[in-house]
Amino acid sequence: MNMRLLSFKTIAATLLAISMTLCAHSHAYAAEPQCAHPDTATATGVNTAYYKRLQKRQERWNRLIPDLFALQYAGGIGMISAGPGWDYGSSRQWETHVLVGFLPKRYKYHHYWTFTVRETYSPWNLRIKNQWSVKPLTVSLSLNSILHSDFWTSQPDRYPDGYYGFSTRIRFHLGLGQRFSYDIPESKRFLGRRISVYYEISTCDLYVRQKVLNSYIPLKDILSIGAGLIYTI
Amino acid sequence: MKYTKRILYTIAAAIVLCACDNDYHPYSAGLTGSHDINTRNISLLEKADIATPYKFAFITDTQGALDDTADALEIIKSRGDIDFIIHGGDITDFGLPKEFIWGRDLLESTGLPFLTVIGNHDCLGNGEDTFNYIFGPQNFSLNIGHTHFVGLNTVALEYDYSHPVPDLDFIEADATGVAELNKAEPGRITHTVVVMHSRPYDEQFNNNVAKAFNLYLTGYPGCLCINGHNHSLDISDIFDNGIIYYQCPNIKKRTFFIFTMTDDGYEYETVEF
Repeated sequence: MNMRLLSFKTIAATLLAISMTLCAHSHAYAAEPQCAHPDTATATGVNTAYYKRLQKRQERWNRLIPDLFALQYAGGIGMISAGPGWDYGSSRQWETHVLVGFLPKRYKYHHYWTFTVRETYSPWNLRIKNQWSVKPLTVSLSLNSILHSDFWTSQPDRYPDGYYGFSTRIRFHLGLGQRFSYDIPESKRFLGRRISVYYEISTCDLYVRQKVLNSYIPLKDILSIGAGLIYTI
Repeated sequence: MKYTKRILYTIAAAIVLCACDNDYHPYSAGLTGSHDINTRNISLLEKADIATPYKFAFITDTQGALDDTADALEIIKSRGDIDFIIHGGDITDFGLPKEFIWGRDLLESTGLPFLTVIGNHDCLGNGEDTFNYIFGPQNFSLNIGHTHFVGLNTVALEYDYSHPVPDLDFIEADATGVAELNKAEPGRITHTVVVMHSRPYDEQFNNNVAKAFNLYLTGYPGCLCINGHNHSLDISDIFDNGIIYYQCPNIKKRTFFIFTMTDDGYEYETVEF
């Protein structure tokens, strides 16, 4: 049971670690060193290595500054989800989003908070005209967790071993979508340089399982649509 | 400008599509269509004044076997002699709202009234909330002809002792009601059909009260029990007191029961398809 718990946490941590590493290797710009004082360094003549390390450290931490903010409506991970993200890769074709979502109270359900880590890959970015560009395909894999005591990552201790071999709390979503971006002209920029709208059609692990086993289920029943905004800084 | 408009239209279309599809999360999907079905079908069946002999079908554990369920329901529907259907629980594998809807829509497609008891898989996640919304009460009873029908929640392991499962107070009050009915009108109720998902001495049942449960059931006239859960065919007199438990296999085994309630008793058959 603990192994299962471990594996979910490991997957989440690995996803984050991979994206952070990719992120760290791909940023073209180097942050301005703010702590190194060149006068002190040259005057004493012995602190260069120390200041270089400080500079490196600062560069590394600077990479954790989010590159974008995402806001999404629906799409199987919450009614409204929002959070920061990072883009990286030679043409910034990879993105990691960390989102907190909300599900309002309805029917006989509680309201729920959700947490999502999403990895997005967009192979193409086509410039349409002037400031407008389009990503004709975005592929995303999300790990979603519904944060409520009714849901468990692995079955509680009261059940016999292997009674329920799945998690009600953790869902994996696979999505395909498109994104349209507008580059804000330099003179008009306030906080960001680009604003994008996207939509995504996605499904989740349990839906796929049921669809594979039951031809009765119509394809549309296992798909959900989400739409959102991305604000690139 | 041309592109701007096109893009704006796309955004608008996407938002409209989202608004129609309110599947915000697999465990908070839109529950469209009919709900509170047990309540509605109880009053429908009681008012229908069904004359004996009549027949009802019992199917159970339809979880993740919707194609087999559809075949079974097609047989039930095409026979033309079945008056109503009882589902023995585990309509879902994961307690997902969509699974409840798929199961409900299949049952509704027969056009016959149906009653559903809750199974352990139906409780998973917020499945119990979905069950309560779509089917209504988990413990219920009704009279059809000379038979009293009782539906019970018996999946105690899902509640970790936080709820009275099975609800002995409910059974006591219900049996007292039947006794009073018979006192006022002798011979009004001659048989009782108790439907549950899990039966005594299953791992799901609260076995600390298994004997008490049996004792309370003896308060009903001519009692027989029907259950699912164990995915196998088994007919036993568990407590050696004449109360027979008819255990139906899951629908994946392509088997269901048909009971015929007659004036002086009942008959049952196992249908394999």
